Amino acid sequence: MAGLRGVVALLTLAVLGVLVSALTGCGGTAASIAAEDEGMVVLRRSEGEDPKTIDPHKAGDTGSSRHCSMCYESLLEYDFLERPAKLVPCTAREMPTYDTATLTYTFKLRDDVYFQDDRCFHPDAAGKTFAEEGERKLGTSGKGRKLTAHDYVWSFKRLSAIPDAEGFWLFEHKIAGIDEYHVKAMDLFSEDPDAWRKHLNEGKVEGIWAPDDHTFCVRFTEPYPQFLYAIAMSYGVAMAREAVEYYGAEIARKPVGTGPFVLKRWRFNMELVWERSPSYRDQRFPSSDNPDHARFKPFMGKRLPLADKVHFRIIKESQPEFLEFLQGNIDISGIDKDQFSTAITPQNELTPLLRDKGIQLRTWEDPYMSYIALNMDDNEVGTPAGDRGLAIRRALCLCIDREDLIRRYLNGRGVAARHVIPSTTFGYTEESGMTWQRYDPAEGRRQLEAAGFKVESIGRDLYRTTNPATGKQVNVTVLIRRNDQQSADYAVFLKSCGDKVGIRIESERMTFAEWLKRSNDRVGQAFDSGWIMDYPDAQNNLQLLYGPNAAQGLNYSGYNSEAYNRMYRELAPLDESDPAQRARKGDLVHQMHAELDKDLPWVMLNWNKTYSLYHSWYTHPDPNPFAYSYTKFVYADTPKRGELATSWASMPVLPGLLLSLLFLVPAGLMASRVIRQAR
Amino acid sequence: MLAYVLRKLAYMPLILMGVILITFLLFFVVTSPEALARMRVGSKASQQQVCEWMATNGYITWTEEGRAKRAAPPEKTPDAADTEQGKVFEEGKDFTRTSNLTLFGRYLSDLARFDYGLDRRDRKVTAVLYEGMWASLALTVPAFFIAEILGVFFGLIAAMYRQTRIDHALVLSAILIMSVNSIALYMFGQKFLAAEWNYFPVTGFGEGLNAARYLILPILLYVFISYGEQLRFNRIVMLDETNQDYVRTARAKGLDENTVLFKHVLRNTLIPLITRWVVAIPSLYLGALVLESFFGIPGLGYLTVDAIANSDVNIVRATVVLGSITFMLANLLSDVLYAVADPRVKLS
Repeated sequence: MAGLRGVVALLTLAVLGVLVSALTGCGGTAASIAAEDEGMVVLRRSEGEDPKTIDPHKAGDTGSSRHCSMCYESLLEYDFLERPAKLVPCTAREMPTYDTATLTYTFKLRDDVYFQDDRCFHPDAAGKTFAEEGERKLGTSGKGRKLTAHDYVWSFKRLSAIPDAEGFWLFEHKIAGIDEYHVKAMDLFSEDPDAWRKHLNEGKVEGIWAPDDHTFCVRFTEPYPQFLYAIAMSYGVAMAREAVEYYGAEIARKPVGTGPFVLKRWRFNMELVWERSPSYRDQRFPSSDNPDHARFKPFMGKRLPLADKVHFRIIKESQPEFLEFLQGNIDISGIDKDQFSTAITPQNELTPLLRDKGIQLRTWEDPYMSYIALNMDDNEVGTPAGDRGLAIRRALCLCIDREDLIRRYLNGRGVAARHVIPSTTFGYTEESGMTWQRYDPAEGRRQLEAAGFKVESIGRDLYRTTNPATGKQVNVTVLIRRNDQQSADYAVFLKSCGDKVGIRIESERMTFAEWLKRSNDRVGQAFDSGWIMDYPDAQNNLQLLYGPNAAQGLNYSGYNSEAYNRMYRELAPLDESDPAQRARKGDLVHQMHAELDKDLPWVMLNWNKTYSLYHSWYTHPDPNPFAYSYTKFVYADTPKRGELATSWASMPVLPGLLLSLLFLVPAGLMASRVIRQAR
Repeated sequence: MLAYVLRKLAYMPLILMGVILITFLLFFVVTSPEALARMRVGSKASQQQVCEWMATNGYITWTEEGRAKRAAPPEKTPDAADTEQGKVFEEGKDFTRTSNLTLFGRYLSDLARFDYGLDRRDRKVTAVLYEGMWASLALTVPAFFIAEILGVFFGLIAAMYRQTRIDHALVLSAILIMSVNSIALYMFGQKFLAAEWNYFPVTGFGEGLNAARYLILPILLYVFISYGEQLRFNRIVMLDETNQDYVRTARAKGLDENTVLFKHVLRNTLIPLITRWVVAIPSLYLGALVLESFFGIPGLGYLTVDAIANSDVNIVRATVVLGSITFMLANLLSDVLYAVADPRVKLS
């Protein structure tokens, strides 16, 4: 009997112990964060997942690009204050000169840019690798050397020489000699690694050279004004050859650049910690008298980066991320659809819960568009179907209630799309909006009837459109690139839209990998697609419908219009900085939209709208979705965060007590009964 | 017993080979090399770059014609020729595919050398698994043992006091807990116990002992959620035993309840319990997917799901192989333990 009593007593003690330790030993993290941040300016952020890589040549996603820009620098970057987005020199001393006769850009580099101190620059590390030396040697840093134009030459060559570089498409066929260099590198990569290394280090690309340490030149095979935007992306940064050779594949996690922050710690699935680079050059916060920039006045002229440390936590789920934000442990947050009603009222304002904490809301239109690419080679919806195919495409465009889609599935975080380019891009005019990209199912039915289809009502808001040639209902299958609950809801939405014009819209949901294969091979009638603009030039989006790009995997609909192709070829090399060319570009964008409105290869859906929440201690930059290098300009009043977050982290006794009693009272009663009965 | 163990061990490579073959077929039927290439070089890369990636990774081989075409400069099309097409590489003409048999051979050869390659983030797969495994174990091992001990204890109590208020109260509480969706309970626990009342951190993880403060809430929730299932299972197992003749005999001999329960009943319930515990071993190191995601524990739970979603073939291959090996060893261990727990069981 003593044994049973002992076990009961032990279990009761264990439960009590857990509850007591829970109530006293744990608590929230606000106080420990405040203590950790004392005396420093610390930005606290979250990411939904780890960056795929911090190797800038392989960084194709926004998360990876954001982290690459903490450490690596391009020749140019986006101005922090000016909108619309404008490029300014970064490691370049001034904006480049362009020789129209030779199609050559010449950049002059700053003289005060150094790579971060790192083991790879230590004399003892010469000829050795990280794999040989291991982590223990990382504490013995070498002095970072000065950045030269040869680093850019080498980095551009590396982008062309590694098989899994994500950004090579930006330079392919454009820089003189780069294709030949690339093909040879690919041959050597698997056949002869030593020869590949020699090719990378000593091989020449005809169109990339450095006449001296401070001058970098790039010559093109055709005018390529988008090049300046392209190099402001992570693909255009300078990497140190010593670092890549020392770290090997580990360079993806051990970046060594010239940028404002040094990666201090990356614990996978948990956190990334960046700290101010001690060797960062004397760059100052830009000055401006513009009243719109008044909130940045306290920082103007201050040395960059403003923050001493940037702490990213990896939080996969939206609820914990939002709760951490509400607790003040994270400075900024997006709003997931599950948290939307907690944060935003139906009047599109902040809820009192957030307002009382001083949280602020900022919204802006993202350059991300969603659309359905219709396969123009398909016998039912494409060009081979002639007028009937066109009528189906028109009906599909007219049956989608975009406002409803945005309301239901995006919590209002979107704008109905009628253009292929976002409203912030040059060339956008209200008038160029495509007329068929609107919600008018009655007109859709009329179009189908006019093309010879039989449209009959089969219920309230339900129609059936029959193809007289086959006697069957018109059917369109959309390939959806996700396979989750949200995509199932979306499939139901598409079907309900199709019902309004009598077209049966079926959906095939699949993994992104499978979707990519099907859409690249154009095996399917319609592909649910999306595109995030890489740089603020209309060409970036208009290329998605350029005929030859069907083979390149960008033009999923396989649209190949003579008129459109001709206009695209004229538009692509136009330089917006030249007034005459700019005017012509505006005309062409308008005419290309008119051409698309005639053929309708896409059903436009929406542009995304970002809702960003941030705390009162955080100085939010004006939005620029193309810029990743703004972290150095951002400031957080860390003592204020500590004070407020700690004050919000009170630990009420009553709920804990009640909860404990809820478990302990029945457990105690039961235990006493057991002991009594056992006696 | 030794002969039995050796025979079982000898079967393992065959079973493993079957598992590897099925994984290989499933993965490569669903995910083509083109899709793998696109995942690596990005959706904006040209077909040529996709093919180059496939060639450098051994999925295709260029033909002479293909080699000439890829090295040739792109055709400059005059404006009049509006039907131009980009460079297109065709299977058979410009490149040939590596046969599935060759790919499978390579797949097996990597495995034989314990070379799982790199994951989609260019990290060594073995390092990824090793790092994540400890975080998973830190969560699942204590949670599993606490839940099992409580489950056995309450199961025993419920069985001993069958059809009394104690039994009814325990069964009712178990049904109530089982009726609530576990994710709802995680969300409730996180929102109120952590975010509203600040008894625990909302998410996070720490080094060494500092990790404990982040683990208490997920462990409590795991134990709470497991309680219902544990109690019902153990109650039935115990009830089955307490109705046996030997229990009546033991009581008739005048043995106290303590001895009857802990010496006789508990020992005889070990076989179903061992089955349950040992089979749970593989899932312990693979972590608890939802708990890890919600509470920011950097374990392996999320890894496999993430790998499948992103066609991370090397991670999938490693987790499947490790999962199979652990599962087979766990099965063997359970067989051996049966013989240890019950002298009537003979392994031959």
